[in-house]
Amino acid sequence: MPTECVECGKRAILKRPKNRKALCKDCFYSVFEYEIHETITKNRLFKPGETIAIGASGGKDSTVLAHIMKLLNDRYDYGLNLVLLSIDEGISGYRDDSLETVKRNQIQYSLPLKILSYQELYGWTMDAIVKEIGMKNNCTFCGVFRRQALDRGAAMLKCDKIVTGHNADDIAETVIMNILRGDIARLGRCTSISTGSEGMISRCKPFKYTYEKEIVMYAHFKKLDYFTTECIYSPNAYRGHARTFLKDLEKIRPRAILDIITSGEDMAIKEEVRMPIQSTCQNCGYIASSELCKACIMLDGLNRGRPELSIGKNNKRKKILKMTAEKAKEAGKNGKLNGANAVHDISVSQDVENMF
Amino acid sequence: MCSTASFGGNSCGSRDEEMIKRKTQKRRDVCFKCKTGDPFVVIRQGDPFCGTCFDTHVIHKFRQGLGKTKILYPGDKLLVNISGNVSSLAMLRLLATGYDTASHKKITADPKIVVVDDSFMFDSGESPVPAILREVERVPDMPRQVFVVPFQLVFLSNFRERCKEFYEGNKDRKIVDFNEMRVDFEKLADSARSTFSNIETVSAREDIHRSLRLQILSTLAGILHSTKIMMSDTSTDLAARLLSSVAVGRGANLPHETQYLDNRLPGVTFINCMREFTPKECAYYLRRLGVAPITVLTHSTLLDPIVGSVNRLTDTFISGLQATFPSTISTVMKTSAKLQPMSNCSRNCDVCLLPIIQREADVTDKMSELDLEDKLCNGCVIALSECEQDVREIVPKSSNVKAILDEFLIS
Repeated sequence: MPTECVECGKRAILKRPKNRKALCKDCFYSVFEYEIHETITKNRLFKPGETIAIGASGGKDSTVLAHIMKLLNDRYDYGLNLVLLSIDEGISGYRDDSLETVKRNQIQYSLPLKILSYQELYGWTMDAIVKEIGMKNNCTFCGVFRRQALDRGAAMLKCDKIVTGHNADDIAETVIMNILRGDIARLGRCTSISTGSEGMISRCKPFKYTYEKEIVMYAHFKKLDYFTTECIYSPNAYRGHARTFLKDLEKIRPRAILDIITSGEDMAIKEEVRMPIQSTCQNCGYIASSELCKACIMLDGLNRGRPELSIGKNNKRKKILKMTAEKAKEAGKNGKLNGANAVHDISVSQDVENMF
Repeated sequence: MCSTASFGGNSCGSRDEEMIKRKTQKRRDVCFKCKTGDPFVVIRQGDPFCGTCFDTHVIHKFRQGLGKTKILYPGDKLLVNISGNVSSLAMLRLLATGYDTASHKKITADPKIVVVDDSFMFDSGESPVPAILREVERVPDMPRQVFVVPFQLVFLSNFRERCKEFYEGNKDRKIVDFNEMRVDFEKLADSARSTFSNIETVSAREDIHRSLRLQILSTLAGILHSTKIMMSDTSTDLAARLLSSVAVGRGANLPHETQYLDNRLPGVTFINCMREFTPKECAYYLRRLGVAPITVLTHSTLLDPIVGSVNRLTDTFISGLQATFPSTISTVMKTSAKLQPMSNCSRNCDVCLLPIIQREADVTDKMSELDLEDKLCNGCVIALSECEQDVREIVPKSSNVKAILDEFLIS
């Protein structure tokens, strides 16, 4: 006997990953869409008349996000102007293909699309960065640059908000990861559905309570056009551990993902714990927790030919840069080397080496 | 975690190798502390301890925790929860060093050793209690009174009153064995077993088991007029508990679950005095003293380490990660130390005794089907939602939870 849909009694086609309830296709669509609508209205994510940039990568989450945002905007009359915003990291064999998907989506949903590239913003493509730093920590560069690129793109398009396709699994994974890394500042803010400080464009995650598996199923049944390849540069070691743990946990108890998010929301941080103070970057004016924002520090590292210095402790980086400059000065005085070459001076590199 | 090994010569990879080389070049044939003793154990990479220095190290660490928190006062009645596992036996021995006549700062609290016997729940059936009692007997120097409490007692109606009555009649005995109470223990054990078999998931079983254990301890503390209970969870246990608490929706109570002092209940403090210890340190300390560990079973002991239960999975995950990234556990413990309890708590949960945080009604309503949020905490609501209808038997009749369940559950 076929399993019946718990809502309407018709033949069920799936068990919801969230609570293992059997549903038919139509009921699944309506429950899925309604829950996201609920999340949006309960958290008052948008106001009528706002322009919203949808961060679109061409992957399943953002494709479903674009589809759902358009659908809900029409169905419930949110009164939003939707724009697709894509970032081209310059990864050949991956991003160029996925951007093709986004371009097709643009036509399917008839939404305006803006593509911004790392090349035009920073003068570096990810291909070039990976050539420089190798396959480890490259995701740190990409992540920092993309975050800023999205903001800049949204500012260019005069958007009020950015929506991203982060789903419940992503957020739960981040909670676990921040605990394991002891990143208390991020632990405090990673579960909030809408983030953004004064003067910055706020970002929100309408899929905060939506299971990744349900997004996949929705895209599958709706036959949405999305791109499935993993990034060629992301071995992503540490997040991978958290991910495996989370998937195992989901097998034992499907609701665990939501419980982790609840736990993340419920945590309170001691008042005496020192938190990084948010200020603005002296160089580009973007939000930063020190004098310069991380993107400027990283770009500086890349341009100097010492990208590894831009990851890790800030004061260590400053100390090393200061030392390099002094050495360069000294070397210049002795007439052995000019300032520009000093960075690559072997003796300097060895001093730097010994500091670790 | 450093990178760029594949890129050119200026890599952190080569630095790592150099460091390891430098470390391994150190003299490893003598104790790194006294430079004379024979190496006994390595607890930090490249730093071997001799037996005597290792003893000093662990004893100092144990006393440091108690000293820093200034938790013990002369004459305090101190409940010491001994389960028989390695860390609990190490805790007992470490505590005993404080009563040694040679100790320059003696512990003056009055220790009451509590052994909760839950072995009837598991198939092996052999009770670890006789072995634990023998072990307790072997501990020198320490004044002691031992309490043996069968776990099934918590299922007795008016549990607290009956135990109190029994205690009053036997308070001067060296070993107060609650098994001697005039109660049908077999019947209670059956009802406990059937209750637990009605809990569908092992995760929920473990969760509720632990809560009931804490209820026994806190009730006993009340009967003995004691306000302090020593628990023996090590750093590894607590790191895993932090993560599993997050996974079962107890995020609001992480400080209670994992910090040195656990003040979940007003009037009773659980002391996690082994918080800074690793299981390895405990095991080697016992080895120094020639103490053999006692096997203690749990609900998931014999199950698959990945899909067994939430607790089991977290244990496996944390120890696996610790093996690859050796700073994992200490980082998790540091994260825990930076958290504080939520301020909007009204009362304590009837099952796990943790404070309940108040929420706006519609925020919590994501999945829970039990409408008990004002009497139970989020974690216990989740655990109880995985029980069959006989759920109402689960919670001790001594508490008022049964009444609540009767009121709210549709059978």
